[in-house]
Amino acid sequence: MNSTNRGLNRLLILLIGLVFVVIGATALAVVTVPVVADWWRDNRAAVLDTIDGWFAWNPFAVVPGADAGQTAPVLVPIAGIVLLVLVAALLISFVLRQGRGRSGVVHRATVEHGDIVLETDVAANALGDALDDTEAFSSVRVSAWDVNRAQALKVAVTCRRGVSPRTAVETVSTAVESLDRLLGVELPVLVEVGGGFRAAKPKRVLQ
Amino acid sequence: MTATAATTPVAGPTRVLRRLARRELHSPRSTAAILLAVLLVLVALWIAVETVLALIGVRPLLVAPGEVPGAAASLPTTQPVILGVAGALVLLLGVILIGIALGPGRRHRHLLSTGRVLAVVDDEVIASALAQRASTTAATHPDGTSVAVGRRTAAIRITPASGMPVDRSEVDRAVAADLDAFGLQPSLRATTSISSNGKVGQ
Repeated sequence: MNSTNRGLNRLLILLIGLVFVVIGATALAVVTVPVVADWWRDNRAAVLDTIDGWFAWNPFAVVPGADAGQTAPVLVPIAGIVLLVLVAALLISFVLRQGRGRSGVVHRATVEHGDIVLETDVAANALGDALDDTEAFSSVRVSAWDVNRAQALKVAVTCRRGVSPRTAVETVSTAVESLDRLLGVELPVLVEVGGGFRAAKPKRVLQ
Repeated sequence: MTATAATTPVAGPTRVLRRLARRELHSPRSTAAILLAVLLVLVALWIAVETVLALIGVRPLLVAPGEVPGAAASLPTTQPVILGVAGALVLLLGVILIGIALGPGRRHRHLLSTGRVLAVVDDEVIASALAQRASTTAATHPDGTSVAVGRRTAAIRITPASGMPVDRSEVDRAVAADLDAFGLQPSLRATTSISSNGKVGQ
């Protein structure tokens, strides 16, 4: 339920995958395909010269008054450093954005005499109290998440072995209806029904 | 506000919930993305450091950037086997990454919608419930029942106690009734198989 940009995740993986395919295929072709190997043997020097040319590119060298021919080729390396640091910063912020979106507030409303802020703990405690004693569940966790500038609740329950998923969800649904009456608002609620090594018999019950 | 006050629905809960549930059914691909991003950061910073060292004329950490193109260019003649194997591995890794990026990434879960809430149920829970039903119906030991739940099928295998025949159609009916009651999306179809070799001592 977090706000992770999944499209961006996939785009990054796709781009790196494509780069790997190109590099891998090129390296493989140079040693296995005779035509490519021949071309490489004939053009190796020219390719290297071109690459050296890129690194040596320096427009200031031809500006009148500058030390023409004496300026060391530093422009491309320095630009490269700036670019690399920029890319690293972007990637770090990309990593830090993963898994965000938890909310401490489940609902805000403005009424005649002021604002109402319902904190997540209220909903979590109410639902927890209602569900904690349920025999079918070995654990209940409630969290709130920001979704499209509103909030949604996630109720994650761990079922004991052999519990009907429908019964489990209906139990939660009943507790949520009580919460609706308690809070006076109907929050969107997503239920996650899980098993677990403590709750099930994983050796025999495969998925 | 009184206890009987009508509840005010928050705007569009079903639409929001549908979207949330759909996200919970698929992997976010965070692990692979974070791993690649961290590797890229390390490589980028390393190249930046090597470039700085080269500019100020200090000995490189591993390789000077200026020597990389020349060294790489001579690999086909100096190390053809290593280059070929490395190329094949990188190519394979690339194909796997493209598969991760474009694949559906389904989690082993099913949707269950009822009254007030929308639920995503782990297949493990479904399997556990079906196993319980099957072993009770067949009157066999729970350890003799295994259930494998896929996206659209649930395969139930029962190993009966020796000399105690199991009525397959009865198990089929009980499990199908359960699946009907669960109302999962996508719906599951159960197939039961009874092992011809019984187990002694259960």
